[in-house]
Amino acid sequence: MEYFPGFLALAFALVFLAAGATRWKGFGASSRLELVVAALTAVAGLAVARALMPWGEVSALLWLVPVAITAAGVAAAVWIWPFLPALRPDRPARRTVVFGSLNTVVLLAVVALFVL
Amino acid sequence: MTTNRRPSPRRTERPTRRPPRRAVVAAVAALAVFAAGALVIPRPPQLSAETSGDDRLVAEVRRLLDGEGAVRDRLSVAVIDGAEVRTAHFGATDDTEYEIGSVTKTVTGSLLADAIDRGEVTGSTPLGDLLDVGGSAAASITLDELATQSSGLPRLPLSAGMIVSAIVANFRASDPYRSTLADLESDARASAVGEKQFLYSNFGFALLGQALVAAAGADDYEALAAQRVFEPLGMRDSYAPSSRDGLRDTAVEGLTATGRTAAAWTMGADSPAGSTRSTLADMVRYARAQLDGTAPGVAATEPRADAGESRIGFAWLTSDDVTWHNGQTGGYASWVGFDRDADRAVVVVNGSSVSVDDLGLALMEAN
Repeated sequence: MEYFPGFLALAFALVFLAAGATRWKGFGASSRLELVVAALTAVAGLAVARALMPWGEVSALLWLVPVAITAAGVAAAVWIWPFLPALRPDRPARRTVVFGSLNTVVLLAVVALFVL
Repeated sequence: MTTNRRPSPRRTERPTRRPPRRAVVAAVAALAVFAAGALVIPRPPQLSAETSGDDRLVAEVRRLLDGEGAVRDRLSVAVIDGAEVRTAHFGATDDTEYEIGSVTKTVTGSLLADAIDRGEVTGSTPLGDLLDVGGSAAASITLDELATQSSGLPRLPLSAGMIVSAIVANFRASDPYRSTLADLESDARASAVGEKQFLYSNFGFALLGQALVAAAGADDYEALAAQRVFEPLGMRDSYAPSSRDGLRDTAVEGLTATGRTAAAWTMGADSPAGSTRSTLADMVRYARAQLDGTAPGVAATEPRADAGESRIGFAWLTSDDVTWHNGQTGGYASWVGFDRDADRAVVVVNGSSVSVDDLGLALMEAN
């Protein structure tokens, strides 16, 4: 239970990396907005893990693993950015924007609740 | 898929080894993110290097804690051998305030023994005579059963609110206890009562403390503990607040086991189970009075019932020859124990929520 935030951070970092680096259906980002949301989620996961993981019990160097994956995700995102549309063309813009906004609000709330 | 890739270099152009500008930007961005992450690498607090007190004891404590890797910061230790008191402080002084957590239960146990001496209650007084718990199963629980942790009550009231509060508090490092006396009584009325065997219960001790407040006609638990335990022992820096408003200016925040700042546990109506704040100097007075038998309600230390592999008095546990209790809140941990045959007592108070039980026991047994 106490290591759960660390596993969560790792998972979110991997999802962000996959969003930028793969074209697999369901993993690769279909729009810049999805990429940004994945990036924000990864950063929120890192913030929560940093605050809640028992770093006295495990090596703090483990922190660098999700950080490195997130950094790789940023590289992939920069690379893919020009090839992505701002919003998914196959979905109504309003739906995409509302979903992205809600996601961001939830992330901010989680960070505010557990980190600040 | 969009196709706005850069056109391939024409054959007539001289091949270049320079990577595309986007690759450079991507690499720089990744490096920047990694560097930022490395800059904020978690640095769990370590035991303070600022020490004072008995040099040998300081070295002994360092040796005992060496290599454990746990979050530590402020820590104070006292070893009492007869008339001799040796102390060791790490980032603290005799007057640094700590939460002693469940060691508060020994104060509540002393209050029960003292109330029995005063004729206010007996060990067999039922809870229902003192608190408004109606005709519930909890009404027939005796004060003796509450004090020896054999009331059949659960560790905490099993209400949805308490469970959610405990989970949120665990992640937010906040005080999970916010009950009023009315809440506590309501939880008692609703609570199932299990087997009358040892089951450590904060809920039970909260009810016991509030019952003793009612029996004494005191304003609240803080006033009762001050009047009957802290003041007679000269423990001027000890108090048991039940709200943040009751915190003194000397109250400092402790650290969670992950190194976060933890909110003070003042615990509302649950304060008899763990809200006392004290200093090493005061806890030395407390432990010494238990050791030499001069503490108010010292009969609380006498073992009366089985508690797993130990025996239990009014809160005080006895394992082999050592009578002890520990405590842990969101930001603190503590351990107090004594051995009358060896004429030794040990107090450990710690400014992070990491157990000091092993340290306390090791110091009890150290030559």
